[in-house]
Amino acid sequence: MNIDVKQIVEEIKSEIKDRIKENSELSGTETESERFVSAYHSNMIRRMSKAEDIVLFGSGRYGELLYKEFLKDNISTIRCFCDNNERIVGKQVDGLRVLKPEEALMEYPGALFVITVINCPVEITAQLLKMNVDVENILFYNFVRGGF
Amino acid sequence: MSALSMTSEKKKIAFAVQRYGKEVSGGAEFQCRELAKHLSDLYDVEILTSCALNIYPWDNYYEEGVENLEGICVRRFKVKKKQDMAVLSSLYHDMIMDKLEYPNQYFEECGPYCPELVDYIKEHYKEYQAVIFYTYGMYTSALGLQSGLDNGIFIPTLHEDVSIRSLSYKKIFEATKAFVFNTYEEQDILHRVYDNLNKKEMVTCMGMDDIDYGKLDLEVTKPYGDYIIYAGRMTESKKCEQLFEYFIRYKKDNPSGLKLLLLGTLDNIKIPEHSDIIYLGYVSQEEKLAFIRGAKFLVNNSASESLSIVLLESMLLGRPVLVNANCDVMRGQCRRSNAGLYYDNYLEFEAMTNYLLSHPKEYETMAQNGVEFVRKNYIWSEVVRNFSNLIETFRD
Repeated sequence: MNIDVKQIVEEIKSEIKDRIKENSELSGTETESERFVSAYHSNMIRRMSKAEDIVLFGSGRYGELLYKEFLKDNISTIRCFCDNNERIVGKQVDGLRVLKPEEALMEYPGALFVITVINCPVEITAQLLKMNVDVENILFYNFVRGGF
Repeated sequence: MSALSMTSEKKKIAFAVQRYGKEVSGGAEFQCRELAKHLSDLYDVEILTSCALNIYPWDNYYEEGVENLEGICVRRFKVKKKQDMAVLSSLYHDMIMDKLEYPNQYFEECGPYCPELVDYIKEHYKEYQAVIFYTYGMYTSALGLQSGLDNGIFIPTLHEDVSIRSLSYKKIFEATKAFVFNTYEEQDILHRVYDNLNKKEMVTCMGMDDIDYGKLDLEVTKPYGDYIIYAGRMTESKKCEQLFEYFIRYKKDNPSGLKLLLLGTLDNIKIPEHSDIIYLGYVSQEEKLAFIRGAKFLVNNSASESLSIVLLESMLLGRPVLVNANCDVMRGQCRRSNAGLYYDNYLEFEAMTNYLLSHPKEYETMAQNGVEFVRKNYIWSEVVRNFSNLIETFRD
């Protein structure tokens, strides 16, 4: 007898879909099973949940998507976005201010900076280090590893 | 017979590892000892290592020179510099920014700083069929792999780390001739950063001995009736408390005689008082295997396991596994083996548990798949054979 556990898991999940939805509505929150949460993401959330202030570096597509995901994980200390793009600075994305990186640091000096851009994390890490952000307060969220 | 006087017809291989010795704790070092021990049946194995027992700062606990340890020749080189954490931290910043004075500056501070070990590799690498380096972020692997040898195999034991994108690491990875990873998930970490290294690669370098479960004494398991089992350290980081919550809720929703047996040490967590949760503490390896074999299945709620040996033991014992879907490695092992299920919330935990308990044909197939999967990939004879095939690609 051949079996495919991936298929079995999907079938079981499909069978209990309604119960999960019902459970979700009762508790008023989206359950983890309604979206895929990777171990990578869970580890990042654990790290972020300890931070008093969080600044998301990058307010583009990935930054916005991740902001929404982090809110689902009850990360409530995200204070603002910061971005090098002068055209976005000063505006709001999903109700959150977009500041210059220096402004964000001045306002939240001990903040955890979560880098959400995927093209140049090394350069942005270097930029933050140059601004004297502690290396412990820099987290690169690799969107590809997030599993969304 | 002294190590120096050992002669053999076997080809020579060497391991370059930061520390080596019975007293050394550390996952990579333990793995290196095990692999060296098992490869010593086929090869004349030498260990090139530091005199250190402790890291940060590195000490010189062991005598410099050559000794024979468990039949293996160990060459120890003195650590010439203690590590300065403040300097190291500053160099780490510079490494990420690619602003080091030279690419290996960080590794020289990181240690164990044994320039004579690197010189030895430079002068002697041709005597070895291959030189196998353990663990990224070490002076011994970083400098050793870049010492000009053409037969360097790297077992990096990588973690997600922004520094592997730096020029310093790029040069190490480019100098490496072959990579060996513990898991496919670890291999992915490297591939996501460097997708065109074009090196020889292999996954799996840790093995286990086959188990004849017919010889296990299952009498010890009989007083507990039907049970599922968790075996390992019990700590918050392994999400054991959530497992207890899930099981208690499961028993409330699904009344039966099923129990949860817990084996292992407690680390700052409390086991709830419940008639169906039974804590047996630390037991011998033989008893542990008997208890796993006596279980319906093994459960592991951790979201961050690397290679889980107990998961493999359970599969080899013909017992399917139920794991947290948020753990990439364990979910991957379930899918690759077709020997276990995974869940990411209570309702799925309940449904998967009920499936395993009520689908005897699928359960039995999973049990058989697990045995075959481990025998094919993780039994020492297989690991050694695969590793040897890789080693043999280096010289005629």
